[in-house]
Amino acid sequence: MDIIPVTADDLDLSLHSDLLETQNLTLVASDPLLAHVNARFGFPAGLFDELVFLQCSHKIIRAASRPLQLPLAPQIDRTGIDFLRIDMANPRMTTSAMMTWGRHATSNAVDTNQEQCLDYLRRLPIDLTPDQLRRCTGRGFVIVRHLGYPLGVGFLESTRHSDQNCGHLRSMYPSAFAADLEQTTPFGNPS
Amino acid sequence: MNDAHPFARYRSIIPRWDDFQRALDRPLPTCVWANPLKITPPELEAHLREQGITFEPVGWRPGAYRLQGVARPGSRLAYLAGLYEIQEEVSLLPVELLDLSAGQRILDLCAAPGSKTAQIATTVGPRATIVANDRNFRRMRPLGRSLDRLGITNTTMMTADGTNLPGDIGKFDRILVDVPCSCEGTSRKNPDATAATEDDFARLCSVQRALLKRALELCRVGGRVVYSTCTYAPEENEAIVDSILQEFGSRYHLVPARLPGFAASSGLVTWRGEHFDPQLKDALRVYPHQHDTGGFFVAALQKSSD
Repeated sequence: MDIIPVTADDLDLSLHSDLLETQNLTLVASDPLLAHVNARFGFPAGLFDELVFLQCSHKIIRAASRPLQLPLAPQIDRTGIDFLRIDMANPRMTTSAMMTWGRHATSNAVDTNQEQCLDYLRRLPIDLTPDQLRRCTGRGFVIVRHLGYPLGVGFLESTRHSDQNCGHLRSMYPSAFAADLEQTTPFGNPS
Repeated sequence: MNDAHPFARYRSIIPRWDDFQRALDRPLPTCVWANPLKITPPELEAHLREQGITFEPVGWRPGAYRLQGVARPGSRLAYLAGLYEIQEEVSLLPVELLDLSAGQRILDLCAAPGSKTAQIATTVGPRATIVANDRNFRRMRPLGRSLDRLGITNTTMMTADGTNLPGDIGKFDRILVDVPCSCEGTSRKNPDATAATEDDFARLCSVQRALLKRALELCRVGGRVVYSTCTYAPEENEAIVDSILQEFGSRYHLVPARLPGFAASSGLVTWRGEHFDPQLKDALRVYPHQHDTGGFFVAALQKSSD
């Protein structure tokens, strides 16, 4: 996927001319990024129109709200939220991005039952039902939801029934979050 | 009731002292608020009912709820999905007094651990810009996680000394100065919190004053600065605001720190023989027995000229 730098003028942003360089930020065009995620998740048109996308490192594209009235100094630690991991063969939306916009996804979103949800949050693999699998278009990243609320990212190994691992979903729930759930469950009953 | 009580020095200013003492012995209720970026209050209420969670709406703050009998609210599905944020009820006050509106540029000068920043960011809408600062990088980490969990895209984090922020940071329409303090008002959740000492005042008051002074300098004319602490000590509250008014009184004035449905106590105009600017009656003191919360102090200052 191409990452295309753009200027503040390209995005109709009124920024101090030195700001992006001072803060070590690069504005990037939304088109290739969103084409990638929209193709996978079927987000509605216009969902990301009020955001600008910034490359802050070789790993991450961040999404931040317009009009981006950032300080010229001192150095900022972060702005907006992590949107896309780009340091991998197939860039993927981050957990925070999935949690923020995942409810709008129309494809490759898995609505789990309570047992699957618990396994996902414990970073255990889950096996999708045929009905869940029908809503996925193929191997790759999926949004994991429960009761319609997005919780994070999973990786679906295959949707081909001839494959041994068809419907097998690897949990990519952040380990730090999972650690917070030791000895309890999100549903209130003892684990 | 006796003078050995840790907060006996405030007996003359705290109404219904016996009720105050009894309140300190009760556990603090858990308060959460619906994240408007992800869910409406009625939807959250329905979800909590479905999950078997008993709750009571906070009357003075729409969308906030006291949860009952929930041992670990930070492990519940609604929290993990970013549907609610946990924040002590009384600490919702200063943000409510910022008089927020869309498009503003807002600074949270002492932001860690960040619940008030999240409250600002979700209240003011996506087209505002919030700059959350704290000099303690480690204490800012929870804010980063909260922004991710709640889906907040309008906030920028930085780690700098708030008393010494450069002019290049720009001017702000609203500034929250929730200063480090002796935390007396947190004794219901932190039993180690006890009455402030002269050593505390020596350590804290100069920093508190410097933070408020810098905030006022960074505020646009017509803008508002809200100063808050979670302590009862007038030395950290009225005396700080009074010293600023004495030095720069022509540029700033207090606006009444009052919210409909939230009756508490006025700020002090005298303390141990010291007289403060009469405007300080417009500050707000909250004692734990008044709303079954922690203790708090808030003053709201409007900037009329540079």
